[in-house]
Amino acid sequence: MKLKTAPDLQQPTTNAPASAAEAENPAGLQESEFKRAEEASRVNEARFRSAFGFAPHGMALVSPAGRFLQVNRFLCQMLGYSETELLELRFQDISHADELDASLTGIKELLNGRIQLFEIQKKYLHKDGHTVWAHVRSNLLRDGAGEPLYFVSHVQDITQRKQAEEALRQSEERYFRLVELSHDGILIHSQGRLLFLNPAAAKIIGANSPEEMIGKNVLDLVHPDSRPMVEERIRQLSQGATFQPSLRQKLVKLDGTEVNVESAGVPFAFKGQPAIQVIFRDVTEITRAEEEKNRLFREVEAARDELRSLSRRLVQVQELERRRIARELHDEIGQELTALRLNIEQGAAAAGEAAHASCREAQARVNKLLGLVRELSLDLRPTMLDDLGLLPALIWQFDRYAALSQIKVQFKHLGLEGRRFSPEIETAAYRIVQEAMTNVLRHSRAKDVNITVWISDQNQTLAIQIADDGAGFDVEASFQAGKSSGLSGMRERAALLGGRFMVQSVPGEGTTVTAELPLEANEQRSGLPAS
Amino acid sequence: MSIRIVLADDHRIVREGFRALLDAQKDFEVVGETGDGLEAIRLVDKLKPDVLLVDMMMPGLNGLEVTRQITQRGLPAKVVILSMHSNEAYVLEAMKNGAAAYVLKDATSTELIRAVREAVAGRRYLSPPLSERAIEVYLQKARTTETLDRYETLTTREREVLHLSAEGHTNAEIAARLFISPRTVETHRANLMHKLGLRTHTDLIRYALRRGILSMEGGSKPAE
Repeated sequence: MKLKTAPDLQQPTTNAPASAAEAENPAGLQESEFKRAEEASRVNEARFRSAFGFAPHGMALVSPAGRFLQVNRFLCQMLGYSETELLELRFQDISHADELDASLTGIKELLNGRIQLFEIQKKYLHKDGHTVWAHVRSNLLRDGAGEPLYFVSHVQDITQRKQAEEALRQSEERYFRLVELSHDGILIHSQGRLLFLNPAAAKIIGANSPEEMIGKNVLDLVHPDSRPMVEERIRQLSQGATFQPSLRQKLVKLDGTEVNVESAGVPFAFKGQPAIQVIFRDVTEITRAEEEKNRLFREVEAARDELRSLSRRLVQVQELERRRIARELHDEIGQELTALRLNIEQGAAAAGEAAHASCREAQARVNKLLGLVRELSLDLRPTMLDDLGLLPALIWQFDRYAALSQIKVQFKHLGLEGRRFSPEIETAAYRIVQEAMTNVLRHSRAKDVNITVWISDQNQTLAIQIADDGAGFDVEASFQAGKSSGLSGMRERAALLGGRFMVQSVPGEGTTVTAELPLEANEQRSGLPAS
Repeated sequence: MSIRIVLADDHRIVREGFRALLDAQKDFEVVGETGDGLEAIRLVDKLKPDVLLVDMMMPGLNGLEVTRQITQRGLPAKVVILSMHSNEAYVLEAMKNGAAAYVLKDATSTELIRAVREAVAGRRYLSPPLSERAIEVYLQKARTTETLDRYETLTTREREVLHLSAEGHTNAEIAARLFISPRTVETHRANLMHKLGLRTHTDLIRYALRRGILSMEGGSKPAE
């Protein structure tokens, strides 16, 4: 068989001149010349075998019918067959069906001389079943008569490249699927022109479809207010910035209306060209909700301020009223009673012995009435708080307290002697102590109560602390149950003056109430006019 | 020689009552009367009485202020305060301003007359139940505590937190020891620092060393 001899045939380049020499000197060939020719042929043959065997890619000589005539080691390795096994096979046997037709067509075209070189990327089936991607280049060798001898095929393994390409393709597919489905608008632009938009982007700007926007100027979508900022952001991205963080900006929809978006940008390679990908979100609703939230917050703030000033006003009015009534009782009614007492005394002196006894009785009643009026007046608001200041009023309060209960009162004070504070401070301090003492008396079952009132030298605050050794209580539960009107009242008084109020209590270990009233802020102000 | 008196009380009926009482004394002579504080000073200045009988509470210039001004001007009249207040603080204030006698308005007429006579004789008079002793007691109470130990203003819990914190325990450890929440510990800590005027943990350690809560040798003393 002619083709069986193919492996012994020489390379075309060496073959052709040899044939030519033969043709030119058919008989007169000297023995030495013949030997030389034979030697050259042998060297060429070896050279070819060497090139074939050690080529860094697969090589094969393939018969016009497709049978492997000669294969190199690289090809064997690539396809998983031994040389012997491979020489039993045709290339059709190990080619993937996908590209088989194309391969056969190529071969046909080589055979009928229409092309000199046939190249194809195709899949082979490895012996163990997996596919091997190869780039194959084949040409056809013909004999002197022009009859096809065999194909010389170079086979390059491109499986890795193909896999990388496939991975890239899948990644791109995933990207586009994400982008298509994204609720955020995504667009890509380059040189100011829109290259791509996803459906969400089209929707936000009011376009019917992404396609109608392609090629349009991206800045036309940006509201004039936001344009300088957007242009600057684009400039930075094109000069190497890796990211433009999300920022509020205004876009103009196709119908001319405005839309608030939050937009971020990144540099992006689109079809190999430098571009910018923008991700944006319609925040009109969020903005509206934020504005609404801010408005409501301001309303609540205002309402709270109003409540605070009303509450302050209430405390002031209550004190004014108490003081007025206290004064009235003490001065007016008290004076009247004094006058009455004097009248009776004079009457008694003038009247006879009989009238004297009844006058004495009347006098006793008047005295008792005077005492009651005075007590009532002091209960409402001790006059010494206004006349003499906080310290005398507190001392009076504790004396009275000691007379009423068995609880031992210890009072320590620092910086109060001879000092007057604003009426608001004096009133608040007095009332806080009064309320705390009432609580101790009513609830604590305490034996001792320590009251400390001092001026804190650095920050000019008036500090008040009332500590008892009584039953204690659960502070939080008490505040929550709302049955702590006393505590709330104290806290409110402190808060109205910008002060602090603290209650510490441990069941079984007593209660400590502390209030701090800032002096500086309140010294100038005068809520209660001086009498 | 009679005792010359100026009477000042804004309440007309009361003033008339007192006047009747005073006039009943043969050696008393009421030389002027008024319902106004400023007028009272003017009268004392002009009439040079022996005694000014003045109501403590008058609108405008009250009795305390009238007394203070008379003393300040060096007028020789003795001031007898008439007051509804049996509170020592008022008495003390009156005495400080230079009053010679302090008479309660519900005292008997005998007391009022005695007060005037004592004042003229250059002695102090307080109508019962007021007394020098009571004023002394009051003064004691009103005296500023010489040194207020800030430590004493700490509550039991705050003291415990201070000691444990100075010994280097964390809030979580202190919370576990005292069976309270770490948040509560933090509150106590903030409050005690505030009361002691401390800012940093270093301040706290320094304070603890100074007070002997912590000893320099490193070993911690038990809480006081």
